[in-house]
Amino acid sequence: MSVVVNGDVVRLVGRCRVEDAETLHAALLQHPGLAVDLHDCTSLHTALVQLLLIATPPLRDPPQDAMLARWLVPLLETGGGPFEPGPVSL
Amino acid sequence: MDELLDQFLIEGRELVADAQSHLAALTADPSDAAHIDGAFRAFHTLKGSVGLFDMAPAGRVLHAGEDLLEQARAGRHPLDGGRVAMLIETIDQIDRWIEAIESIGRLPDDAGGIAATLVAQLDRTAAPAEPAAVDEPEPTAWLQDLVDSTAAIIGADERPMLAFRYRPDAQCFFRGDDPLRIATAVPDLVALRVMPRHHWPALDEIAPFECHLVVEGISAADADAVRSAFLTVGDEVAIVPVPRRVQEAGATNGNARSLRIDEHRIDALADDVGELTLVGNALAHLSADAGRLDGELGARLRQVQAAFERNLASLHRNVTAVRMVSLAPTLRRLPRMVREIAAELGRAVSFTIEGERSEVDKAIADMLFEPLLHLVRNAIDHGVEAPEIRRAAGKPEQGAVTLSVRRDGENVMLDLSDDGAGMDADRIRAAAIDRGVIDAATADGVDNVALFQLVFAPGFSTARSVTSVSGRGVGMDAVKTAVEAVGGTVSIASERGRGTTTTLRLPLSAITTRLLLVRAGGSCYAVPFNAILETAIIATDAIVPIGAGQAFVLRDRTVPVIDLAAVLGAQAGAADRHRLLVVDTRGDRVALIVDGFGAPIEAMVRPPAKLLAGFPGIGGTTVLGDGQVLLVLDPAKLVA
Repeated sequence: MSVVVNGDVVRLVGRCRVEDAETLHAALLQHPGLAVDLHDCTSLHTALVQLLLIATPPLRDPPQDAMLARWLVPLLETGGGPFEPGPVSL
Repeated sequence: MDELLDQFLIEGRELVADAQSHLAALTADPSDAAHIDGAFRAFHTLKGSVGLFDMAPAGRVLHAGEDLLEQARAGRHPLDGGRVAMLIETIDQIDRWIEAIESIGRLPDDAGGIAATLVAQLDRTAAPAEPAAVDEPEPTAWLQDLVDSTAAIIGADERPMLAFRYRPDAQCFFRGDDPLRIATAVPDLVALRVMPRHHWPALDEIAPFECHLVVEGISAADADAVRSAFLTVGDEVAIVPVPRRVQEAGATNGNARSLRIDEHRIDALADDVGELTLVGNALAHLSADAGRLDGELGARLRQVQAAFERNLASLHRNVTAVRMVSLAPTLRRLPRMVREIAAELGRAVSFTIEGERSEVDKAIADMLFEPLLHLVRNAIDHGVEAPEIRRAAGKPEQGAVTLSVRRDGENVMLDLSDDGAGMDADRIRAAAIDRGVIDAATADGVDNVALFQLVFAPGFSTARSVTSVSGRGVGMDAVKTAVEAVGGTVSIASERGRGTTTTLRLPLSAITTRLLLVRAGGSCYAVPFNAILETAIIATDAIVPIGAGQAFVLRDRTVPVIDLAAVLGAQAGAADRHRLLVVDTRGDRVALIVDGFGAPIEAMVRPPAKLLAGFPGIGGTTVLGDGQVLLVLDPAKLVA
């Protein structure tokens, strides 16, 4: 499971694929206002990003994964940008 | 008025003028990339501005014009003379609409129809849309928008850059595409943004597997690297270079260092400086008084007063400098007027402005347009001949009207020349005699140079037929009055068959004097502020006769009182209270009885005309904004 509703938070874990979009959609609809925790997310499909841009839930803990965080964090924080992606770490 | 609208009226006009100057340059060379870029930017920004107001027809017209410029910019459909003329017509129409918004607060009723005609004409001259652009109604308006919105991010980065716009198909998730994964893998990504293709659907309406977004970005990588990042979705991506100039424009917009200040605030500042001049006058007298009682205290006060005067002078210079504005915005309104006047009169005219960079006091820039417009009308109506007459005279059918602007010391000179018929000395002589401007005996002795100046005399007009253009009851005398009101001069030179040149000489800074209007004996007069010590209202019985005159006591000092109306030969008014103007007459105080005080004004004071020169106490004359001429009193001479 990549989308886990855990108490007062929706956790996105590991590699979140396009098929997880339906689960996230349902979770966001069922628990409006619930925060989303991205800490353990390693990749996030566009379909899920799109849902986060529309639902604009409160965000908790940015992804540990630097390659994901460099664009996902500023993208969600600015509601779509424009933004400057963080540096690419090798 | 609405602040946003005020701002638009200023900026909208600037953008129109900007577009007009680029288009004027394109008339000469329709392939000039810098001017195509400049005109495109002006159209694009104007389109955004008019969108804030109820000006939808203007938005449609600008959009069509922008498309045409965009095609030229992309090299798909170069401009030619006809298309540039269309664009000029478009921007002239926008100018008229901005005028309408200012004067009547809305677009005229025919705006929709005019817009439809213009859009149809512009579209007809545009290139047919490319197949790839079918789904993309604004091919690179997005580019401008992207560059504008990322200006702060791009900043001073001078690397060549590419912009991309990736519009994934709504069903792309089913094909396994992950658009953000692709876009974020573009090398050397400088900026990125994600937008809804139209608008974001509500969360409970969205189908989670449908793609609704568009990704745009800017990369500093080379074209091959960017293209290969989008290899699998190439047909959904547009990649274009970020134009250098646009990049620069974006960067400067982000770092603008100038302020736009309401002119009334500057005027208020100038008023305060005027008030301080009064304080300075009072201080000078105070230090003289103090010096009589205590020499050392007087000397110290004089030092303080001198320092005050120096700083005040510097403040005055700085406030004056703030009021200096470029003549360009005023002058750039003329080309459109020339086109309209020439079209109405059936003349072919090319209009050139040379050297419009001079800066003058705002008061001068503001007054200049009307007189110049009148002179331009005259040049086209009475100067430039009809095309068939010009052809017969061996001249090019198109008349040339040139406005050249140059600085000459503390003056700015404007020469308006035409290559038309020139002035007919005999006809002017006859008309001047006929209209009583000059008598026959004098007229014979007058040379042509002096004779031509008679056209500025009130009531002189030799137009054979009254046209809607020149025959507006505003003669050349109005031009002269307006120019002289700011301390300028106007002269005219002409050569039969070769053309006419009218020259305006205007001071760079309006050298104005602060005047207080006073009423006495039923008339209005002006008194320079620097002669006034104070004003007072006292009971009539406080004035006591002393010898042959009268006086009153002001703070333990006896001040002689003179009735201004009586001195000026008018009927003195009777009242139980007197308004007094205490003035300085070479070190002595004298109080003048006046009927009332008017507003303080800033105005040019001209030396007294010959008629008044023999009359003591008149320092000069001044022309009010409404054309009324006032006598400016010189109190020192008045009571001497």
